[in-house]
Amino acid sequence: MNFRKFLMPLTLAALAVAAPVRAADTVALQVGYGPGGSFDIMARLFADHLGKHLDGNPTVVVENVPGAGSLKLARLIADKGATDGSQIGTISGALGLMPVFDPEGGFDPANVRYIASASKESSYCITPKSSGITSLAEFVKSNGKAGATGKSSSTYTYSAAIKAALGGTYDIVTGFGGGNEIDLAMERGDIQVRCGISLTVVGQADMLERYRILGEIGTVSKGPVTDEPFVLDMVSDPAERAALELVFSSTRMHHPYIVSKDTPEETVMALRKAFAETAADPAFLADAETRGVVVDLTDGGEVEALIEGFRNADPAILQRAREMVQ
Amino acid sequence: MDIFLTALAELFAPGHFVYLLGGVVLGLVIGVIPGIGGLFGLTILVPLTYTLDPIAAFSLLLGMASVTTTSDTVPAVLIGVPGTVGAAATVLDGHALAKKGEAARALGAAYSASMIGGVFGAILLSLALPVMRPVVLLLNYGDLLAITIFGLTLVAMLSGQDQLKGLLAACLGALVACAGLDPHEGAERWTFDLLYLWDGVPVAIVFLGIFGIPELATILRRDRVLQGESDDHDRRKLVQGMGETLRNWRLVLRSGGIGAMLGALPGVGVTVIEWLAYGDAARSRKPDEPEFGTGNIRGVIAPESANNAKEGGSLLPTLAFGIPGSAPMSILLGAFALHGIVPGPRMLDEQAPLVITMILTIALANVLATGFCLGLTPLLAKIARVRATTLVPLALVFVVFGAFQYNKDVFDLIFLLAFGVLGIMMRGLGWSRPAFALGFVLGPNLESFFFLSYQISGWDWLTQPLVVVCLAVAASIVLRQLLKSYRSRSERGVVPPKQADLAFLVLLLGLGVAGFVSLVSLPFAAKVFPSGLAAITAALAAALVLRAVLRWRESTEQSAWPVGADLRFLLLVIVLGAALLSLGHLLGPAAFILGVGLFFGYSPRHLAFATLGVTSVLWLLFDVATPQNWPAPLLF
Repeated sequence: MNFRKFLMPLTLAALAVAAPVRAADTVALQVGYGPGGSFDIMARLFADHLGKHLDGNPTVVVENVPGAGSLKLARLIADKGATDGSQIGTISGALGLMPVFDPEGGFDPANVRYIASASKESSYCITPKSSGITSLAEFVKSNGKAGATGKSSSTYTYSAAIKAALGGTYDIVTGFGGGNEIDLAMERGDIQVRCGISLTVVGQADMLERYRILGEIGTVSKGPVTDEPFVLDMVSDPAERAALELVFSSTRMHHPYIVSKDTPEETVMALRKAFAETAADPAFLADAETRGVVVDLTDGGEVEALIEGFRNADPAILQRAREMVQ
Repeated sequence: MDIFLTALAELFAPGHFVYLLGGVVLGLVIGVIPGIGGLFGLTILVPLTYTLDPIAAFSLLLGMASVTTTSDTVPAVLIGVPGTVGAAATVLDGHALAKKGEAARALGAAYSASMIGGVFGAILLSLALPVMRPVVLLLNYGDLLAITIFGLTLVAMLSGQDQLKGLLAACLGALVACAGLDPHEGAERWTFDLLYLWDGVPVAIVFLGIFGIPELATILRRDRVLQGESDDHDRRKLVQGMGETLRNWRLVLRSGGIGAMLGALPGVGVTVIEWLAYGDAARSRKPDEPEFGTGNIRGVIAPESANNAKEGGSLLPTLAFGIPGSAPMSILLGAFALHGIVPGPRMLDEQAPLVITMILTIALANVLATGFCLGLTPLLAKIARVRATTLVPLALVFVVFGAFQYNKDVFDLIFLLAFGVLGIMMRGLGWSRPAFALGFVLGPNLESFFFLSYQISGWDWLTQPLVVVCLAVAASIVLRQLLKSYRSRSERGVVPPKQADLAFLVLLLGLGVAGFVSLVSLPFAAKVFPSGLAAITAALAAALVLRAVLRWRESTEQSAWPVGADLRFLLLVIVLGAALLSLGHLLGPAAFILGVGLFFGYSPRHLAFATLGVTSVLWLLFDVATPQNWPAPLLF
């Protein structure tokens, strides 16, 4: 084979083609958790449909950037996220409450723009039927154990706040590797309760047959799934209730999608519109149903207003809410 | 039996078998490329299965996921670079054999061990299905903790001649694993204000650095993997290796059993499994065998059998509880939902044919993969005879690229380089890298299992039967090893260069002290484990410094450490990293190969093939198959 005539030009041509293959026409949908979890599943669902609602129909790719219950990704986007809409992150809804609970925690939701929140479903406390526990009130006064991952996770904050608000005597075991490991420990009888599990997960497989739902965690009840109480209604003191409601309000902005704060207003608007259109797209909805994902979109503007509202809450209530999750 | 035959017929239906074959081929390709593994493959494939029927979908997915650990042996043996994190232990003896001209023998043994391990794992899985739930539910965090402690005592087996240095290496590994946010308080430990380090250093990058970089440096220095003439009887050696696997059938089944059982326990982590199997094999070394790490075929057989068997094992909890045994399995769990399959206890009744089909898929995929690999081995074994100036730059591109694709961050490259330097120093100074690896993979488990079992049952776990047995065995191993090393203390062979070794020890002493001091202000739960480790590290290092000073005047033969060649190789890594960052993920490696080719005087045709080949493989895999958001090159 003649090198000069054939291979050399081919090499150069290949390099010339290789050079422009760059980020410009892809949008990265980054997930603050590892592959396989609910955030990952939701992001992959959006990734498959979002592109056709964006200008220029970019390829949307999912990337996992796990760390510290998605705080790592939140900080990355706040500090040096792309400002052209090519980098969108999905992080824990609870991070929107960080200025309230942990002002030193290293993330301020005011330093990012919210595009949308994909879910506002309630969260639940569950126990295996084999534990013999029949009600949340019974568990709260027992010396049982609830399981949690890290101390900043909702599995911990919900368990801790319920314990504080209802004068509970149970222990909270922290350090589980993930929700799955908490479930396994419950099956084993090492612990009895997990608070902070979504209906999407509870509805999976035959969980409802094997588990009892003890209570619904949220700010507005979606109506009982079985016969479980709405946890807020178990608290009569108005101040206590308000503080607990604050802790639970992350359920109102579950699965939020964020971009850098320096993203131009029109790009933010275009992204919000694309998310809204995607969520109304029949193909998307059909796909969501096949994958068993419940999507209930809230516009980013509304999420930002919500977060602003938390910040302006009564200082005494903020203080009490902070104590509850210690 | 009816179910079994129906399942078999389903699997062999042309429409399904094609997917299985496709999955196996893709899995083999992914296994060969360093830095990516089954998880990467699943994220590519799951979206492709949306429109398939469940059997076709799981033929594709399981076919792929079951065999990456068969082909990851190829780079591990031939160039000393683990193809996936599951092959790091295979590097030690496999690559040592390749250097002796026994690559085909090592590969033959590895594939056949992979196959038998994989099939055995699948059989174990099918037998265990009915009793799986009670068994997994029986083992709690106390048992896992005891297994971890038992695993740590294997450090003694992997330490080579110097037990104290092995122990120190393991402590260093565990210290490295502590970097990041602690699992309880979320406090930052040794993160140096880098977000990158919040989740710790990626395991794959540590292994590529510790094992891959030093081996590639050696190959470049020696001119080719295989020194001198060899008799080129690869086919005969291949058969010899397979025969050795068969003769060691007890070891194969034992390691396969370890793989399948630990794979079935969620939370243990797949990287731990092959090291435990390796350490376990080293424990039963007979006096007439070569030392582990110097080319003992049993050191290839054990980890290979274990890491294929674990796939079957980790499918168990996924099926029986809906609780994934590993990260790839959690992707698979998502795929179950897509196909309307409901994992859990009832799956075994309602979906029995599908479950049997899945198990058969794993078994069949392992057999197919081994067939492919055996067929290709005579060709692959020739890689050991390729000139290093060609082999090493090409391999280096994949190693560096494999590390960079993790976070696409400059720190991927910096930590690859840093652990490469550490690996080179440890190798040059005769420190046990396997001991480091074992400490690194077991350290986090030790911490998290201890805290969980303590919170759940206080100290009661110490009275559980399995814990008592594990700890007793562990204690007897340590005692025996101590006695042995006490008896043989007078026989000291070649020692590493004294000055350099002392400097390294002083560095570790400093590291231990600095590590301890830097943690003082953290909450108790966050610091107790790493502080303890840092203190042990400092104490061990101090003892070794003292020993080195006392023995300073003894005249012993010192091993040579070709520092110059290693430094030149590290320069090559830096050049490639710089090219990758400044010119982009395709142009950078291409320019690197062009430059290196010109420097080493490749023939023009050879140069064009190498450049085109590397660029097109990277492009196909990381742009076409998995579109990614690559960072813009710094230069334009």
